[in-house]
Amino acid sequence: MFINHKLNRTLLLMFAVLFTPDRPLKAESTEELTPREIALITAFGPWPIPVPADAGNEFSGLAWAEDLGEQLFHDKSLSGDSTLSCASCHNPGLGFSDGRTVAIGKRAHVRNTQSIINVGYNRWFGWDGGADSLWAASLRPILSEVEMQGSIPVIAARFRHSELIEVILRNTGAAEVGTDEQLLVTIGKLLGAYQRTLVSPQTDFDRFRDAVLSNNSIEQQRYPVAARRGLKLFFSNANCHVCHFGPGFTNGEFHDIGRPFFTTIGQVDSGRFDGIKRVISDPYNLTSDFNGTKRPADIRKTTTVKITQSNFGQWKTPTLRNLTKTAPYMHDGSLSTLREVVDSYAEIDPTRLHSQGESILKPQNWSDQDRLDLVRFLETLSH
Amino acid sequence: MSHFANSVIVKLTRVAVLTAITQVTVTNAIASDTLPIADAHVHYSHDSVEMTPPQRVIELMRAANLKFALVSSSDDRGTQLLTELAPELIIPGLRPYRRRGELNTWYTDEKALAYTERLLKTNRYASIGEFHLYGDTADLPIPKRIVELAAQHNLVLHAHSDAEAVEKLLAQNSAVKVLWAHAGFDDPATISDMLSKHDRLWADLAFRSEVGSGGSLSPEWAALFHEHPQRLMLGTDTYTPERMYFVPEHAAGARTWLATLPEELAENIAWKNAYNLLMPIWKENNAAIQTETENQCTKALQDNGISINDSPITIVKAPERIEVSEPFTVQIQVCGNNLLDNTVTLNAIMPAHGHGMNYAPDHLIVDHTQNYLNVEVKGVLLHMPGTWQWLVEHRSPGNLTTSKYDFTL
Repeated sequence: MFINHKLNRTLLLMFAVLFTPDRPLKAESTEELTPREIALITAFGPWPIPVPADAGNEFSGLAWAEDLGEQLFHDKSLSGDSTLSCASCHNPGLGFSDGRTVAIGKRAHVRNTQSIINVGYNRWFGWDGGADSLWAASLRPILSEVEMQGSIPVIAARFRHSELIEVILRNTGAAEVGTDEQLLVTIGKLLGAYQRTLVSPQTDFDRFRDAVLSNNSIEQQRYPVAARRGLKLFFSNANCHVCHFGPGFTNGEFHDIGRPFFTTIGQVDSGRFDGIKRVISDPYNLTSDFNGTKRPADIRKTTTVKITQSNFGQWKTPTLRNLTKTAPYMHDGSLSTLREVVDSYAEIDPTRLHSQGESILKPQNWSDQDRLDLVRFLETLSH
Repeated sequence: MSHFANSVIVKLTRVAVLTAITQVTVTNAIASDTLPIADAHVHYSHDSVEMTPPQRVIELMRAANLKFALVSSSDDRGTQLLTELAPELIIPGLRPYRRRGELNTWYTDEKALAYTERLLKTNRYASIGEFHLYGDTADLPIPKRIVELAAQHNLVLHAHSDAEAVEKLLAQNSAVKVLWAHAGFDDPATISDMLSKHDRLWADLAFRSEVGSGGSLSPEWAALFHEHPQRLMLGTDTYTPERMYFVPEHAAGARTWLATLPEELAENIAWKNAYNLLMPIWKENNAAIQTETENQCTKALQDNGISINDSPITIVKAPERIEVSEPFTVQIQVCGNNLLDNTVTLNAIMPAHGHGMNYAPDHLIVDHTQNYLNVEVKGVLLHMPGTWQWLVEHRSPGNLTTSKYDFTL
């Protein structure tokens, strides 16, 4: 797989080099990066970086667990009526998302399905960070009335005498899998172990970034001029890079970018505000007995996270990697294209941002060409 | 993995997977060779001084990465030699024995008492002991006088005793604290009962080879540690001259089973419990060490700390390299006078953005005396690049001082 992937990438690169219309014949001075920009993009790689272990998951990093997790990911037995699997909404063919505005499980959701590629890098999981580990985040949709409508006894009964349990016992050396709830938690941890392995490959941006650092001018020139102009906007005082920071193009935290969060008349989805409350009360959070590793450094985030008024209407900064495969965008899927996303930021309404909000966000007087360039840059973050 | 044979998702390499296995099979990452150990049970008696020079003893202790050792010797000369040579490494205890072999006679020997009283007039200690005392003998006149001296001189009683004698010692004076040598060689359940019953009792695990035997803890011992996370500590017991060379081995062995405990509990047993019991007493009893303490801020400043207040001197020390969105620990050190009723807290804000951190980090007091306050702030996370500001709030009775320091991430 890896070899094929590399070949494909090489072919694509050759194609890009030969036929991309905005490919420069030579670097033009207006697209030269400043020392500040070079210093900034240094922090956005290399890629990929090692994925941390799933917090509290004693199966994280174990090959047999990853294999079982992959099987479970496609197993419809995890939903109440055996009609939905994790992959039903996190469809590998759609960037591990579903292409819909908002998710549709057993009932209609109010949030867009997030892609789970690179999900292992997260500190908090879900748009509101309502889970503090990948395994806990995996349990949530299974038990959700809106999503898979599973229940602990029903799912445990389906799996208790299955071959899957035999494999678990054989690999762990345990005599039994425990209570129904413990069995479900084990399933969540296997799902977490698998999802942690989903890492997106290098992109044109990564190759450009590496070429800049190694002073490889030939490789640098393969990077489209329009994307380079967009990159300069991204790292400008428009401040995109401040939250979409680092190799994963996210700081892993939560921000209010002025998007509406009504779900219907008289109903709001308060995002991080409820997310903090949910993670604190989650019976499967890292402070629970289900934490299989009990590392204080993991648990500390859950015991020290603050809830404040400003969390109301905040959403997790999503990664910008793999973006072209995960439309539509925003927590409610309300923006269909990357151009709409760029327009949304350019025309942001300052009055929607509370004075305690991110004063770094302000309307941008971007021309049509600027916006196209920024979209082109964002496209280079996908493979 | 057939589902994604044609997908473009990159599977982690086996190297990365093996790294992760290592992470899950070792419970905590701190109990490596670098985990400091406090050895609360070292003797450097006359025959040991003859066989091993004090410089070599200090070498052994440093090789063991000891944070400090509680040393008591028969006679006291060995203790004084080590204290003079490495004052930062040695907490001296006063053993009421002039020679080896007095363990069964000292409690009826007036000369042993006179020896003890004489040394207390000229030297400074953190403890009296280790002495041997069982049952009713704890209520004999000389042991009673030893308890009086302990209260008078602010000293911990380091008692190699059964539970009965420990209770008698504690009952004689409501101020004295007892460090129960070898945890009385009692079973974990009895130790737990004793620690629950007496809040002035601590215990060392010297020569308890069943603790962590084979690198793992039995459920009974693990339960004891979880029940009393702040009361137990380590000790080698160099009861023969040769055994001084076991100090590094003991530390290494302890690190193995400490690795099976949660990080904070492991650190407590490794050194913090001993530190919290003995170091404040030692600092109060020893003016020289107090001066040393006052110099802590100067040292912190020299070690890349940032001075954010002059009165009292307040130093903030963050890692040299701070990564956006990666949690880290900041140390705040305050040096001054009358600090016992003081508190210090750290926050970080982005003034231009009008917000601060998304977390209220844990503040753990590492050291707190009249002249020195050392607080570790764990779980600090700065989630954006840009200009940040440390805010340190120093509260003393009736007063609040806020100090600020700008820096760019």
